[in-house]
Amino acid sequence: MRTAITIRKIPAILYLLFVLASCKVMLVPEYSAQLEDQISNAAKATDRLYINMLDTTQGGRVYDNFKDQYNEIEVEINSIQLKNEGRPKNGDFLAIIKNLKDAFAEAKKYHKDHNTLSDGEAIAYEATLSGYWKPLYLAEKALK
Amino acid sequence: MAFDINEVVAQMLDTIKTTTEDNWNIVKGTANTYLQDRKSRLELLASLKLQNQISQEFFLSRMADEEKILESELHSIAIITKAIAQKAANAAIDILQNAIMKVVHL
Repeated sequence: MRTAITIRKIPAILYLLFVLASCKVMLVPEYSAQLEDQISNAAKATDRLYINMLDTTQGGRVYDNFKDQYNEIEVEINSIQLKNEGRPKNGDFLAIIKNLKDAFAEAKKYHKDHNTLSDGEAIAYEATLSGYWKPLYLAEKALK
Repeated sequence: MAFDINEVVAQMLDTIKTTTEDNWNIVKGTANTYLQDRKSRLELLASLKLQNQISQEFFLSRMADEEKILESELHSIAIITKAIAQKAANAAIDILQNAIMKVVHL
């Protein structure tokens, strides 16, 4: 059915346009290229931590030799969490980051408590932590 | 200038359908990536355990991690699905907005 637009309908149409223009659907946070880079770099740093460990003999794999790398990564995770806390519609992101943060803290504590890691433990942590990073990275990329 | 609401609604539905279809492969691809990753990790952990490179306790801890990783993956798929729904809804709103603007020659 076709409806002719009359002059008296224009204010209503303008009002509708205004409402539509200001009413975009928002279900997820806006994409951030800076956050995507930060996630990618921190995931790489986590990978590098365990690759460096595996490149060292078990005797040289003492916690003190790696604590700076652990702390750097922990700082990055905290920063990613803080930036996400400031974004709207962040519930799913915060849940992913909490799981990652807890897992990284556990891996760090395990190394600190045992002072060293076996090859098997380092390999397992590398694979597991990579599994925690990937959902965060792919979710951020999907916002593009 | 006439405003045909049926045509506009049809275009909006078509846009929603196209946007959803175009992006559905992202959901499928991501879910598949997660499944393959899980398979590789479980194979790796099982082999490390069988070769006694990790203790039973350590192995069980990593199995507990797998549950948490699955939870994160589901949150990630929820985000991807919502992002697709958002793109589709906003594309449909844009069509309605453009149709109205054409009518009033803005």
